[in-house]
Amino acid sequence: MRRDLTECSDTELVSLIADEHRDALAELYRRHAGWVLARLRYRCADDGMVAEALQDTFVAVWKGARSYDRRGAVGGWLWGIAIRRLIGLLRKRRPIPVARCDDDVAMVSAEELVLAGTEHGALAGAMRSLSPELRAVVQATVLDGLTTREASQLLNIPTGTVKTRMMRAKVELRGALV
Amino acid sequence: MNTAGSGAHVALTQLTKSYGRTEVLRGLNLALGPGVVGLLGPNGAGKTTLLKLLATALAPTSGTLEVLGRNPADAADRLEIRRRLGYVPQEVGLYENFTVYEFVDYIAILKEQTDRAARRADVCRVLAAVDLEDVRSKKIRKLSGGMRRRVALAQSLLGDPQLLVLDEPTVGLDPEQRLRFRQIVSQHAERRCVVLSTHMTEDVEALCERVVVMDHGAIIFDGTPAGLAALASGKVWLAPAADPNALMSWRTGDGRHRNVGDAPVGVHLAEPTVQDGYLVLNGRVLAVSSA
Amino acid sequence: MNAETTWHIDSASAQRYARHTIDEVTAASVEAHVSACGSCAAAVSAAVEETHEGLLDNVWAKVDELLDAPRVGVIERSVRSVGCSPATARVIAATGRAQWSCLSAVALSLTLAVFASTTGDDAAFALFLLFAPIGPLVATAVAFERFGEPVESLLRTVPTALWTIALVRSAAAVVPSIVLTALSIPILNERGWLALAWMLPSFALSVAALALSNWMRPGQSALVVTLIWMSLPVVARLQAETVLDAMAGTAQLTSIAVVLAAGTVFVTRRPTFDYRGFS
Repeated sequence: MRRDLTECSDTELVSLIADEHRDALAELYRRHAGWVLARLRYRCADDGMVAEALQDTFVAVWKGARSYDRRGAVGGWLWGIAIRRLIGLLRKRRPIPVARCDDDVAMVSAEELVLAGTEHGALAGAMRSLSPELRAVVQATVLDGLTTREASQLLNIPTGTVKTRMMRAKVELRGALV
Repeated sequence: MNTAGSGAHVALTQLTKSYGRTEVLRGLNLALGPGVVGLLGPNGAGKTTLLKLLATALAPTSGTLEVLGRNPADAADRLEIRRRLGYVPQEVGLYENFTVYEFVDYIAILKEQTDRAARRADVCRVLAAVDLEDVRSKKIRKLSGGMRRRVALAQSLLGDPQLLVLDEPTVGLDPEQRLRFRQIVSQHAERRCVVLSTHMTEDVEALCERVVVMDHGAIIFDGTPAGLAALASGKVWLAPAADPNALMSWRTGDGRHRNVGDAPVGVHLAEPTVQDGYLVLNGRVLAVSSA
Repeated sequence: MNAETTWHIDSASAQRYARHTIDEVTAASVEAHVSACGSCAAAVSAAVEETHEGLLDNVWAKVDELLDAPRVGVIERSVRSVGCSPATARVIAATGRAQWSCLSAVALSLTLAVFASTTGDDAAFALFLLFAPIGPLVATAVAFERFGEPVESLLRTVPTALWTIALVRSAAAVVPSIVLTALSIPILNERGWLALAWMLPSFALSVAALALSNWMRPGQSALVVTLIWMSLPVVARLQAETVLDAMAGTAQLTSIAVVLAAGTVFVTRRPTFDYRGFS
């Protein structure tokens, strides 16, 4: 009973992967590895590290396919795995700054998720007006869904700085959207 | 047509195998060369025993056996034979806890493929040949019967063996799988010798250039499938009902009956198949042994 | 909140994203969209593949290799750590669960040894010494029956000699028992060395079973050997000594003789071990 995998949805592919079908993993890789790779490269200039993160990601997908909870798109789930792998690799290179325990909670509220959903619109223009370092923080926390600690790892800045920049960015963005 | 001679892949002369007082193979004479040879016969005819002898899993009681030009009784020769041999036993025994890949990889290790990269390439090649790449990470105990047969077939193809010995390889395969199996075997058989035993005359018709029929430990026919079918020429006819004088008759899809045996005069004769020839042969053998 | 956005990534943006020639803000839009939209994800991936095909293929090859790598269990790792070749280690590990039954049989025997040495009861101790050697033997036989017909008929046709496989498997069963026994010596009190008196007979039984499997199936040879061993009390009575004395004396001497004789048989019959006359 051969199915044409190119016609399966991403969710179906992940189910097949959970059922140990290697071809399904290959198809998922064909569809998603490209953009995951590119997106990682925008966060880290080290090609070797990016390749390793990508490799770890798909191995993790194979092992953890059963834990995909079907809420949200497969792409988002994949990206969550990939960015955290990258951060893990970065962490091995740079030491973790000591931080308080609320650093591990995701910073992004529902309101900010709504903001993220507006692709071409007021947000895009407003983002343009932010300074690069503020934009980077918004990208890390809103687009990538990282916690303070993870964002600080990725951007190589202390967690305190991540928070203050995020607050400034919110202020400026709200001002621009009004 | 395969011919005897020193170029033969397999040569048997007066080969006998007995267990205690039971003679399972009686003085067989056979020579096989490149191509696919089908071994037909009822249960107990000695097919499995013959195949085990060819695969060097058993020693003969008497007679000479030459496999790939070597004598299996000699330890060094036997090793060389086994390096060029692939075997699928009748009962497919696999390690349930292994994944497909692990099992085939394990057999590859036993076949002395010590170089990891080369071994991996070979394992992937045989898994692709039997279309099991998708499930290669599944544990064997989760596989269906047909898939397990394919695992057994895959391991036999490791190392591209010169002699492939397959004991009832199509049992439990559905028609699509059987077709795929025929493709794999005929591809492999181009310069190599494949000996397979089967109950299904369709396999013989589709795949074998030569067919050997066995009964009670002896060879009762050695020739081409067409030759076997020809034994039934003039002996197969179609009639509205089963003929009581026929050796065997059965109802076909269009409602008529196919009868095999001594045809009465004036009936509508049908083109004989390998199966018909096999029935006639066995009928004759049965008649002789009951005389 | 637009869940079904009508905006999709155009191919020019996809190309620019792949080539890093895109502006930051559009990049952010692409990224936000791609997480949710499968078709655009595939389109961007295709664009990236054009520019980074080698890298993507390399990573996939590594993923493939990692997922195919056979799982190496505890037993295999420990065997390799003592210097076994990976191939031999795989052969040992292939018995899987049977190895654990063997180890647990050995562990059980040892616990009994410690226990027995602490009791003052001679009869109980004698009984223990009689049954303990059978543990590793049964475990070895089980290890073989696990690969007895039908895998056995396949294993008879491979270049790696069945003899080697048999030896490796039996050694894998016996060696841990020797190691565990050595470790337990400090625990045993002055009943001490007598509690180890089962060790040499167990070794002898295993070697005898191996040698006998030249003529019969491993399960049968283990049974035959066990029955012969069980005649020890009868022999002891005939010689008018207690079982304990027999264990300390006759059994040890006989075991040495058996190990030598059976070992010789096993080694010299190596060429024919896998080419026997029965099916």
